[in-house]
Amino acid sequence: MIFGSSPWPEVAPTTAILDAANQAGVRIPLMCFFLGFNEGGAEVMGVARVIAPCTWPGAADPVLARIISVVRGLMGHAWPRNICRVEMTRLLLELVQENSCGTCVPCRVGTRRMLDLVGEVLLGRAADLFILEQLGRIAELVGSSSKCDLGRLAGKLVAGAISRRRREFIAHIRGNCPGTFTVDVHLGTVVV
Amino acid sequence: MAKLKLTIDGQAVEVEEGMSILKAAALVGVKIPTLCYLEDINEVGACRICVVEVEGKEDFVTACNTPVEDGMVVRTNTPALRASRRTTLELILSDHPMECLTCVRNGNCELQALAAQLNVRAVRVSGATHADLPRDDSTSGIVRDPRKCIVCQRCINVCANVQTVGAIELQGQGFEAFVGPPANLKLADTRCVQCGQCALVCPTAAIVEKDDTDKVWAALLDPAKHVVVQTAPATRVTIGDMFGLPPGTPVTGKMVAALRRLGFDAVFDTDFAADLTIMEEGSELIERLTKGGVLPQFTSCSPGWIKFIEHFYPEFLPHVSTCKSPQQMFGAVAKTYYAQKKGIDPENVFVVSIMPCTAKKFEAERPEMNAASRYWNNPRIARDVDVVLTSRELGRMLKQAGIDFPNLPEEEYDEPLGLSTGAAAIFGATGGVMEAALRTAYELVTGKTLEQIDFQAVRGLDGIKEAVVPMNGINVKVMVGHGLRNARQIMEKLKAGELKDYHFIEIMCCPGGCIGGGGQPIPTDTVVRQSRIEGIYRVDAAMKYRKSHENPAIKQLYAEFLEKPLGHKSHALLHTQYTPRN
Repeated sequence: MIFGSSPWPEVAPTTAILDAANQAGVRIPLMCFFLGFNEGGAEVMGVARVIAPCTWPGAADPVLARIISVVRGLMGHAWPRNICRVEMTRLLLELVQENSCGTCVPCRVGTRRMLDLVGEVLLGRAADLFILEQLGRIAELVGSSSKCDLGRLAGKLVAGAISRRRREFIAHIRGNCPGTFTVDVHLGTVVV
Repeated sequence: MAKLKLTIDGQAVEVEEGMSILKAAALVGVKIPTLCYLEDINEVGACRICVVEVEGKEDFVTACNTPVEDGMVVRTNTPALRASRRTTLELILSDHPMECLTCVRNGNCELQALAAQLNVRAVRVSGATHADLPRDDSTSGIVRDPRKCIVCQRCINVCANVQTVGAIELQGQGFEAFVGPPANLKLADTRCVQCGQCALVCPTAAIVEKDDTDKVWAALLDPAKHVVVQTAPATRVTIGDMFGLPPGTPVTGKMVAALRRLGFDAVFDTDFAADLTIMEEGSELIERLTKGGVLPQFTSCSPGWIKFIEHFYPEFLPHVSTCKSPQQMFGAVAKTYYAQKKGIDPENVFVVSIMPCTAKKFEAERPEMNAASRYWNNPRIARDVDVVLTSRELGRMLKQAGIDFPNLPEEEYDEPLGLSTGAAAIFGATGGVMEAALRTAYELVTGKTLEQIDFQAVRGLDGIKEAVVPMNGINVKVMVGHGLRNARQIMEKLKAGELKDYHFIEIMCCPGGCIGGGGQPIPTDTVVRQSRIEGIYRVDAAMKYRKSHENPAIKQLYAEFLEKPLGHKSHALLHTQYTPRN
């Protein structure tokens, strides 16, 4: 079931979640909408599990509410296909930086420092695994101490990524990232 | 209010509903570290240093702005909290120029102190910085160095809420966020009144007074110059702060001794000019009262207030007394009467002011403040006041000169511009100008001796104070406001026509008056302000003369030079006009 209402769509085995959802008449908010670029296309950037913005407490600004819901969605198991988790983390941190109000230190500085560190991992510039300790330390702080949910969720997301998907980060640091890791996604996880 | 019971670090505490965790913790001897927090002014939870654990909550909460709840179990010192605070501080330090040794706030920096308190021994994060943000020294009084800004928002909130000016804002998103005037304006191009309250609350050196000490050192070295110094009323209870004396300690005599040791040719007192101001401003009030002038009359001593009304309420400028501030009256008198009396070429008289105020630097640079030049018809006499130093700058000079301030003997001001009264001393506190004016106006109007000279109703830290004083059948209604928020309230009442029956209104730009000025020693908070106010009334009570018109040096000045209040020379030297800035 998608969103508990539509019938299962009949799709070909390689169909993207987004396409499947589209075929079922369900519009999934897109990261690329927020990020302002679209070269990867919806197939890459689609975010499946989304909480309705208006139900998120404390986020009066609808744009912020949507972003929070996207970030929160990414903490679940529904990940876009064909995109590396490290890359995904970088995109997320960019998103958070672009939308951070700049008030609190963990979000303003912390997510930027994490973005820089993840960038180093992606570019193969990290000397050793110590960078993951640094990243984890900042993520822990940002996740627990940020002023609002944008920073808190970003911190938790990064902390989750480097613990649950550590091998992808390590692969980048060692320079042998296979490029993509197909995330174990099935339509069931799309249901909100 | 209901009482709530909670536990902080294992200690039971019972507090009023609505109290913050921070204050509740202080009651049981737990001093939670803070950085951006400033009581009543900045409780935004921006820095995240004061985080604590609350049982049942997944994430940390900030103690400064989280109210206590009944049954709350709070922990303030756990390994996770210590790690969080330290990492937060490291994040701040990773974008802070490590210039402590050459920084003007070295030794008086809250960031530096916090790094010591939290035992930070290395900054383990690095990356992009704001090192390329330009310095803004466009104003006369204040310099902004955004590189050193930690975005705590104290300055924003003091400017917007305490002073209702709103010259600076938080701009940009994420890491690129910075504090500054909107639309990349220079501070001089905004409605900033240069009160310096931002510099007073800045935890670092991101906003500081413009340093003019080198100009004074140079003048003191110049054998051709006769360098005189005047000390503002409020400085005599604040200079001691910088030398470990308790806030509010009267140090008049020590300050005189210290200035003499710095090498000034004559040590004079702005208080002398404050007495002169009372003579002129009191006479102006009596004239307005008797001849049907614009009322209520507003005081004009505070340059921040003057710039404020010029920007925000220019249509009411006719209400403002035409009297210059004491600082400017002093400069004009020093380069005319005093130079003439001493037989010194007025070109060589160099006037230095010690002021509690950054806006005084702006005032001294106002184009019209060259009365002596016009009086002598000599363009080589530049300004009536050549250099204005804040209390903080004087403190630095004294330290640099190795002057052991607390152990100095008490010395007397030089004559004739050093003689003053208690009425002048209280100019330093909110309500003081009003009280001084009432002491003199009463006696001038009624011809009777004022028995009760302490006007308690206009004293103290209440935002707006009022009093009614009967004088010869007229009930003179007066009002006193300090801090521009209160000034704005009063102006709005005036605008609404509610102040028609008032006669005289004192406004001081800074909260508490000049003892809380933007150039005063840091920290200056409510408790410190209160101590300084008490100090200034102690100075008043101990003075031989306590009414401005009894000052023999003022009588002499009128007899030998000015002739009479509001006379021809007074108008040329002691009165001014204003510039609408809308």
